[in-house]
Amino acid sequence: MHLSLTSLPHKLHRLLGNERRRAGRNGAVELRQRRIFILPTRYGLLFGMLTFVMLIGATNYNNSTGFLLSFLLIGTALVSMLHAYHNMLRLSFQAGRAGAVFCGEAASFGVVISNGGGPGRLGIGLNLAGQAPVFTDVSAGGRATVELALPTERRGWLPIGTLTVFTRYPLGLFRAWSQLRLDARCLVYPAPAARLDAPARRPGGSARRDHKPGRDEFMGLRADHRGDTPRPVDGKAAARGREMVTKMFCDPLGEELWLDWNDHAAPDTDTRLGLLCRGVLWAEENGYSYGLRLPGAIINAGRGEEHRHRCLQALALYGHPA
Amino acid sequence: MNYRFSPDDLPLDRHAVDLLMLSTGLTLMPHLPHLPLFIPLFCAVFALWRWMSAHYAWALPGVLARTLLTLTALGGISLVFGTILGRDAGTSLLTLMLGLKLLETRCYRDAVVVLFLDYFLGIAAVLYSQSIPVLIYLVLVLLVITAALIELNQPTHGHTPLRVMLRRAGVLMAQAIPLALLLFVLFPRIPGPLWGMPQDGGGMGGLDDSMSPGSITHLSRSDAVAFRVDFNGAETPLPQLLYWRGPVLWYTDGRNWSANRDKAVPPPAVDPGFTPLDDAGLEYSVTLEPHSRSWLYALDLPISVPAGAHRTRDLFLVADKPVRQLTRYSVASSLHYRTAPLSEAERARALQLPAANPEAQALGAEWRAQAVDDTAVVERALDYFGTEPFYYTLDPPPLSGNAVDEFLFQTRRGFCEHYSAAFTVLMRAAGIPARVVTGYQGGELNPLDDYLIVRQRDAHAWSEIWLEGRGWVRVDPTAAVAPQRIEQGIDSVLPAQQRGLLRDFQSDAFNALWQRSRLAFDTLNNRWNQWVLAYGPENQAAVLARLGLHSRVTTVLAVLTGIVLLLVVIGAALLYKRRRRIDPALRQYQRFCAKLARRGLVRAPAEGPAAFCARAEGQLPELSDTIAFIKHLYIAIRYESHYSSDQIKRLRRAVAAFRP
Repeated sequence: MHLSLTSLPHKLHRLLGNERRRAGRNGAVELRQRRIFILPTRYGLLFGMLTFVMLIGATNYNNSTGFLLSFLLIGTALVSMLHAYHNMLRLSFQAGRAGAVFCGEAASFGVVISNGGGPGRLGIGLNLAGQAPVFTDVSAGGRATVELALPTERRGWLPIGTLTVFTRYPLGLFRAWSQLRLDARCLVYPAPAARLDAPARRPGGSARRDHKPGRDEFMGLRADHRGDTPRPVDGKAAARGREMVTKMFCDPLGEELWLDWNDHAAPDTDTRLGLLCRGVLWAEENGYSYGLRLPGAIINAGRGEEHRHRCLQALALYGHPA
Repeated sequence: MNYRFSPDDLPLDRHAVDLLMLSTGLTLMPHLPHLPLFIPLFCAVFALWRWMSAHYAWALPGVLARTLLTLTALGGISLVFGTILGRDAGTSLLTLMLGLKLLETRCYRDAVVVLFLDYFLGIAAVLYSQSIPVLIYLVLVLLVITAALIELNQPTHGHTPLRVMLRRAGVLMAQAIPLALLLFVLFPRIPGPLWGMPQDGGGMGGLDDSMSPGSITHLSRSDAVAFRVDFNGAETPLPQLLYWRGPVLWYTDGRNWSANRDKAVPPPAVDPGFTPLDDAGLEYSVTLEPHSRSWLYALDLPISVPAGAHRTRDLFLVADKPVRQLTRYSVASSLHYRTAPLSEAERARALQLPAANPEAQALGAEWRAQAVDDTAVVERALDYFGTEPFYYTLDPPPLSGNAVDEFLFQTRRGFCEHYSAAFTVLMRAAGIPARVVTGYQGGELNPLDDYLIVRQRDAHAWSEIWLEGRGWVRVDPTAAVAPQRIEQGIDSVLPAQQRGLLRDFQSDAFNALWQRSRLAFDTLNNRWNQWVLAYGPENQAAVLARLGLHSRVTTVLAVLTGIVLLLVVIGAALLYKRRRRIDPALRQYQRFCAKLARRGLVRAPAEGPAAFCARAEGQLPELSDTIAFIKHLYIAIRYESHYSSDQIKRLRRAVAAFRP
């Protein structure tokens, strides 16, 4: 039995020393004695004041029954501390695969909670740094899965970060909590540019005014295709566009579309990646076989969900060490 | 089911609102008899409004309306009570605040505050009654409030059945009982009151320090307990010795008797002392019900004086403060004694007679003239009561002006106060110093627990006369008229329905049973009084001293250590309960390993079940099916999150049937 209140300074030290809660087998982390902390909530403090006033009243009226019932409440509060602690003990947490998202969308981490022993657990809250908590129950010997959302701000790998697991069950007077570092990350693709000709819409982007045939022409044509949701396009225009694209980009070997880092003159990397990302989405959507050329990396032409992912992953991780 | 919210702002659903209503309603119930009617009415309207809002989407009042309601309520309370402090005004105020809070309850935070107020108001009910039934009711109320609090803190709740909620709360509170008892016994008590004297609370009825015809007769109708006496295993004295002395009355206007002529000026509290004639005093403990007066009852003359009290010049005990709470004190008494000589001032007081009752005075003077000494006068008087047609009755006819004359020569029907008053007047008329003593006489022995119950109807009045060489001597004229009253107790002269017997059942067997259950209940009450209600700073000091806790610092340390130890024990019990859920599988596996070990297949310390079983299957191919079955079952139970008791059963059967 290890009560955290008594050894709190030691534990806070360990906590602040940022001891990693390393995932064990299967990436699962189990809550053991030393990982759980308990402190009273503000309701607990209010309750403490309330029982103090009760004791004052019982003293003033020299009322034994008043003492007895006040002490019963105080005892109940203290026991609820143990129950909060046991509500967390030996729960194990495992993060599942988080599907890749585009930057700006919320990443969703699935966390599986297993009740390794003991009775059913009620009111278990989970929250990722700065996010609203999600509550769940875990039945005796059972599992529960919660989806935790995390906003994305940068492309690349987004680690799940610190997961705070807590409970205020049963009385809300004490909060037992633990902080976990689960082994989970989410791939964040670059945010696709709103339109394919984004560079032309840059303020002061007059450099692109001189109208040249070729790729820019293609870009201009698709300028009216916004967003990444497919929508009905005028058939003729689409056919004409495809014909033109085919005409202008068909490389000598056949029906391959190449998306090239050097095709874009945007000054910063992320804008370029956004444009390429939009290009990948467009090409996949329109059934092209497409390849990607990045400085230091070439992805041969292909199509399909997996190919799209490979391309987007390359864009997401561009410039990041693997 | 998962829900997202910031926990404190969780809006309440109907279920939660219903729970708040239930808790608050049950909390208010014991307060209904003493609250001004408008308060529970206001509360009920607020609660109904909130309930309609939860169930039928009624609009709740805005800030302005709530402020107006609050001010009206405060005004109403200060108008009714003249204050908003003190017990009665305080509980009223709390009740109204609770109603108003209920009305504005929207989210988790508000609901918690409502339940906390429920806790507070519920416990405040002990200021009105500390009886066992009230305590049981209040514990049930706390259970419901706790159940509601648990339900609120289960954010994923559906609608947990009330039974399950109560069981959860019950487990929590049952585990809290040892902690509560520890705190109750050891938590250092400070002698109250902390502010002002609580004027409210405690005690009604009982003897006054004055007497008039009919005042004690009135008490004879009360079944209420005045005090209980524990003789600490010693034999209870004979009934005719059980005179519990209370206020001594010196002054009379011919009809009424009082301790002081001028109530504002108490007599000087000089204790004249006395000489006990018995070898050792009789020691006993009295548990006195609150009676709002300061005197304490003791047998005849108390030798020792309990803490916080003193012995008056009239040799009865008076506490420093009025007895507003159940009080337990130990005292030793002498039943045979000789009091100190009488001063002139006292002799004058003990002979004082107003001009009233001329016939009685004449009779006294006549006896004086005919008698050889004081004793002869006393015998003459007792003989007079015994032979003339005097009756001892609970329904004496009313007396007017010259009460003693009227009683002695016309009505001749009276209760103890009539006889003691008449006798004292006669003695004074005969020149013998005399005074009236009030108190209780007798008591009912509870054979179940060997203690004496003294009830209000045991109230009694008798006389004391001062005889040269003997000091003050008790004379009970009632004994001359109705000796059974003294020897067999008041019950022997009361009609059946006043003896606490059931009117409609005349069967003796049934009455005996009824009597026994009454005594059993009284035993419970007596224990409760002694062990719980009378446990205050004084008794605690004695208990702590016996435990070797002499300073406040060591006591506080002991309390803290005790709490930590108890929490460790409860925590360990919770862990143990949890272990037991897993252990059956391990136990079966160990049996299985032991069986294999007898065949020479010993599991290596670091060998896991899979590896060991694989080795065993290799060595015992004929049993490989069984071994594999056991292995799969065991691994499933131990290492997968789901298992059922059925799996455990199958494992146990398989291991039992396994014969390598």
